Amino acid sequence: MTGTWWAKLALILAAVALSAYALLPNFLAVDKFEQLSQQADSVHGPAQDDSEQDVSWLRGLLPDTEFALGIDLAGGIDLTLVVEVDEAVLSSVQRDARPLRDSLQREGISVDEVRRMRGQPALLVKLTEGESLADLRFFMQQRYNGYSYEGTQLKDGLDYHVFLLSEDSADYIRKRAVEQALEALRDRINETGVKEPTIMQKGGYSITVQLPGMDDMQEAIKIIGTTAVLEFMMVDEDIRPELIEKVLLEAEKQLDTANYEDDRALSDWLVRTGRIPDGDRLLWKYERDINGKEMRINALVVKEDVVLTGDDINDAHVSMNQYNEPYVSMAFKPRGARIFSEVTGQNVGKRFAIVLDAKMRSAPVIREKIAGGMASIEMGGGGYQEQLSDASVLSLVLRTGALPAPVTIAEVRVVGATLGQDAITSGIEATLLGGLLVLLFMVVYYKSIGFVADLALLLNVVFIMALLAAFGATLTLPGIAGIALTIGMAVDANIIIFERIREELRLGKTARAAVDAGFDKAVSAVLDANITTFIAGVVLFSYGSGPIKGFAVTLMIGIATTLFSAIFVSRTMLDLLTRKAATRLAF
Amino acid sequence: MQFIPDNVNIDFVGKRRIAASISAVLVVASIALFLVVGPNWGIDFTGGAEIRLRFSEQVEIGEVRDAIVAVGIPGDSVQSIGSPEDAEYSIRVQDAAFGSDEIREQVKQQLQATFGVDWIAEERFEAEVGASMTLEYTGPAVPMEQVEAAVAGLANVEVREAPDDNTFYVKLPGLSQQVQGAIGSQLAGHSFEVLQVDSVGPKVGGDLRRQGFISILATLVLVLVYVAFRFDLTFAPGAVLALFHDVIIVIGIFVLMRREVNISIIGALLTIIGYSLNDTIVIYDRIRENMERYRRKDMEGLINASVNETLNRTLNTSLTTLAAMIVFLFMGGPVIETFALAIALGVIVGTYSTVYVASPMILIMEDVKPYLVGVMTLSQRSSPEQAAGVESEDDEGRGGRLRQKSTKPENERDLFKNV
Repeated sequence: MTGTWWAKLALILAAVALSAYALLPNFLAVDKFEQLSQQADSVHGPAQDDSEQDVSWLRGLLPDTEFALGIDLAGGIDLTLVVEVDEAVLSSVQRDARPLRDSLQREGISVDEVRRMRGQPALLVKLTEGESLADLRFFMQQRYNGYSYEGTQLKDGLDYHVFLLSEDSADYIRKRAVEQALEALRDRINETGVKEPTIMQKGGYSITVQLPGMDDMQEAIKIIGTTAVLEFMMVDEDIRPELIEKVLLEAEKQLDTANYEDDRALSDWLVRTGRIPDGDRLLWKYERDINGKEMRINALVVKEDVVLTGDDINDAHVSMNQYNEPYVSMAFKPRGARIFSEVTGQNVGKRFAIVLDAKMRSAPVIREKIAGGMASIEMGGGGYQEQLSDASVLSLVLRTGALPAPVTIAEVRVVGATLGQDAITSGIEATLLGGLLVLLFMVVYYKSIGFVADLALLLNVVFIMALLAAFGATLTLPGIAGIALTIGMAVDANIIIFERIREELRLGKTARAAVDAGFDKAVSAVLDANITTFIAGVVLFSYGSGPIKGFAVTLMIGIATTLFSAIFVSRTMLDLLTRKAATRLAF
Repeated sequence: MQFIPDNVNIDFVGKRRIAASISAVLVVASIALFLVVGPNWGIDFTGGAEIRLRFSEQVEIGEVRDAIVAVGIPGDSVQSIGSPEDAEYSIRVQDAAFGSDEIREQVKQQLQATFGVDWIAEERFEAEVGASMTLEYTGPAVPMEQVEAAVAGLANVEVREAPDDNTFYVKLPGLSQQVQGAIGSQLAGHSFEVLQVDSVGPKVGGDLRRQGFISILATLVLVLVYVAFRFDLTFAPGAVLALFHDVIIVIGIFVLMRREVNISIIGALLTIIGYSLNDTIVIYDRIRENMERYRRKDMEGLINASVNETLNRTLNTSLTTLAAMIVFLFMGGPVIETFALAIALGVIVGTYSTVYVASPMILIMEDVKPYLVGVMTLSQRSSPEQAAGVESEDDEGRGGRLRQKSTKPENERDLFKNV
């Protein structure tokens, strides 16, 4: 035992050092660093002196571990949205009606009417006199196998054949609707420049949106309610890539950062200064990096006239060709089909840009005139997986622009910045005071051995904070209360062990033996007691949302660190204190 | 220093009948309060809206009341927060659909004025945050611009096309919008800052309440299983009874104090379960140890001794936790106040129940154990796995496990052998 104390001490010191490392970015002037590193990121920015470069290089050495403040502390808006999936299913069935009628006509099955049954995910088909139901059913089975024949209804003296959408197909549409809503929300919210938004699917068909730092509820609701704008524009093929590169370099030199980084301002400046022709527009393609931050990838000059909008598109999905290569298949509404056929006829060999909310998403080449209202977009190079993911993203973009997913707001919580600041202050003050009381109690009650508990407790708090930072956990006000509660409960483990050691001493054991026996006998109680609290924490984590989840996280992390500091750290320290056989423990 | 002298010997178990009576009265009273008076559910559970405002200068609560009464919201929804000089108020309306009836009427009237009295064929209403109605109309399709123009005079009313033919949605202003609007116009002279807005739709509210209830039950069950597994089935009922006792009494006190029961209270209750059990387990651990050491000649004395031996620890732990939470109760600010209150109450009730409920229950369970074991042995023939929860490891596994070699009835030993 005594021979290994140095190894234990080294382990504890290593844990402390690691914690300090993880906590470092939170204590340094983070804002300043961020500002500087951002300047360094934009290599094209204004000239920088070397000292700034040095600091941002230092930032790179620090770990990427910072607490995120919850909405209740930082201020902001927390929304729960419910995707109206059933509405999406209905509208999908609605959109099938016209293409179904057209393809039935082409097939030679004459119909009087095809429409959606009111309030039901079903299509009603009224055949022209003399057409056979068997033909219709065979056709539906072949081409619209998502629907099943449900019988024939007599309405206003006419026979309507009912085809109901299967539950599987409906489920698929529901899932797609949620995906689409997520995409639309990400797109919209990124557009507004809200920093570090969280957009996440919750259980079921609901979505959590957190907008830190925002406090205008109406504005937030407006952002969410706005539908994405999808536009098709022709690429101006007269502008060579070299020219774009050249004018962008000039723009970097002459424009300030704000204007250069604003797509619209940049494009307007290029037109105004005659660098690209009047009636043209420069668009950027963006990609999200691993942190979800959007970055410019490449630029393209398009003709500003909008050829088609999302309203002209009926649907889009991923398909496979005969070589098992994924592609996006896109269906137009009648007006869209007519225009697209015309435009593609005139522009074979040129590219058109698919633009969502003023960002270029794809620019496929027109191979031939596309008539008939169906177009396929093949993916460029890359492996199968890459092509597949590109295709899903593009089809999602097309759908997002074409079919606004109806979302309703189920829950809104707004915390003003003032309240958040108040909460941080009072939370920290209360934790400090509470912690101080506990520390004082331990020293008064247990005297010198109380210092051991206090030291273990302080380390415990350091470990909790470090783990919170390392997990990137969100700190909330109940979370801070959770830390305070953990402080109160953490000494419990020490108290159990100390009381036990006292008892053992009373039995006449030496300090050394009493410490050994005390730990041996108390550890099972300490473990049991903490595991049950941990169980409550797990349930709480899965139940709670937002602030309460933050509380559950600190509670669970607190239990883990408590076990380490009370059993391991205290033990090592007491072993050190009682190394000499003659040592006496003062209580 | 030591609060409790070493040789203390308080007869806790001997007072079990008095304690049981007190607990029973408190639990029954709490349940009665819950059922008859009902808790003051927060909007988390009922749906509705709560808004906290701070005026830049002194505004009397009466003025705020008048302002919202003027738009039909009851005056008692207003509460002052902190001292009156802060001029900080909370306005809470618990009906998510509140006030939307009138706006719906206005929308319909305006549409009928434009398109004719019979134009609206059907109306559906959804009372989520910012309620919405779905309207279906008769006659030929009308472009949305015309509908928008018809309701243009109404503030915060929006129109959206629906997938069905002849159908559209009308989005009505949310409750918090109405309240803010009312205060903005009625108290035009005073500037105010919106500190917090919570708006919860009725559907979410119902879900949260149900899930909260389930999560409390789930925790209790999991904990019962854990205690049964780690100790013995005779220990588990006492622990879980004590937990029910704590949770019910804390809720009862909340009902009595008219304190708001919201999501954070569910969090507090789950924490109380964890904490109170933590307290109980330490005493149980000691009882188990003593049972081993002294066999079980005098269960009452043994339990008493165990409780007394751990009394220092029980009180100290409760004190430190209580200290941390009481500081939060007075300093943590209004948001965390009820949460801290619930945990502080839970610590007090939990400490009491550990000593007076959970521990004596072992005595009762020991009395009924032979009977219980008999029942289980009978049923065990048909379903041996039922008994598996009692003792699933070999007796040699841990020293602390309850053993009763000399006094163990024949049938009980059979039970363990078969497991």
